[in-house]
Amino acid sequence: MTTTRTTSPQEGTKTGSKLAEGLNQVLADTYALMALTHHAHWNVEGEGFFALHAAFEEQYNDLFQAADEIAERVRALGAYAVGGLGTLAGLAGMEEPAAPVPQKDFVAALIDANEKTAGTIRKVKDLAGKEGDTETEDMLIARLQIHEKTLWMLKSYLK
Amino acid sequence: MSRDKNNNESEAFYSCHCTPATCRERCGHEIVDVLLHEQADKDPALIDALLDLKFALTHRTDAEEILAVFCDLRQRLERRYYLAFYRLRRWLENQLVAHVSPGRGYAARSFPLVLKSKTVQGVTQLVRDTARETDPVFISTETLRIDFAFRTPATTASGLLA
Repeated sequence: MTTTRTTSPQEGTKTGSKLAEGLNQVLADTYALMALTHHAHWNVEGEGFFALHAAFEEQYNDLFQAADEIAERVRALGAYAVGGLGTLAGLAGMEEPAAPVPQKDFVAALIDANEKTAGTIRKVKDLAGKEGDTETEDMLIARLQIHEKTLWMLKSYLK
Repeated sequence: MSRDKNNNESEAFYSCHCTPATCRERCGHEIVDVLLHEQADKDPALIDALLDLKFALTHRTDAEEILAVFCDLRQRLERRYYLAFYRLRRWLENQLVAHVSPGRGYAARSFPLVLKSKTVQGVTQLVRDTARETDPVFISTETLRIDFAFRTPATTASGLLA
């Protein structure tokens, strides 16, 4: 296994290293979650429409920027970022609710998807920590905080 | 689980298939167990309903019985514990299937269950409507035979066939 301690492609991880693979899984989860959140933003309806519509927009915008940052980190490690909707969805393996669904189902599905993404991030963050890649670890800690905040908000909505 | 001993290490490490719709057999049991733990001494009626479902799932009584128990539980669960209800519902939708035929002795066609309705009768009606919309052979038959069943054979907690 390649040890990753640097941030430049020249010195960093080769394509297929465990950390790069892990980051690509984070990328796939993040992108799939963004698409799910966007779908929910478009199709949510009912009593809480305005609040959910706006919250989902904020979330998918953040996820879009995060996906870019994660993909660029993969490149910085000397690997290639995964891409293509089919590939990303296949890697993420997230359940996709087919509209129309009750607004609470959209929220519940996003809770599961955020938990899945946070779980992947936690594993890869630990791996980055073990390999001494503090830049990747730092980026993933920040992502984890955002997912945990999102989970708190979504779960609060269902209570 | 050891994650460092085979070539599928990355897949095992990063791919979590344990979402309610696609998860392993035990997930529904775990949701019920967590709810039971949280409910201890709080809501006797809910605990009774949870225990009924736990018993039915553990013993894999007939699928229609499980549906009936779930519909009963749903009334107590949906408003207060929506996330648990959602996960249980999606898990059951993935575990159960409806076999529809024009009558005894005819080949049956399988339909996925959508547990929108709050009663077994409602679920059955939805399956009937879907079958009739999907296949003309079911339109001409006044009384359809609908049987609920498990998608997969029974497994134990270790994943072995019981």
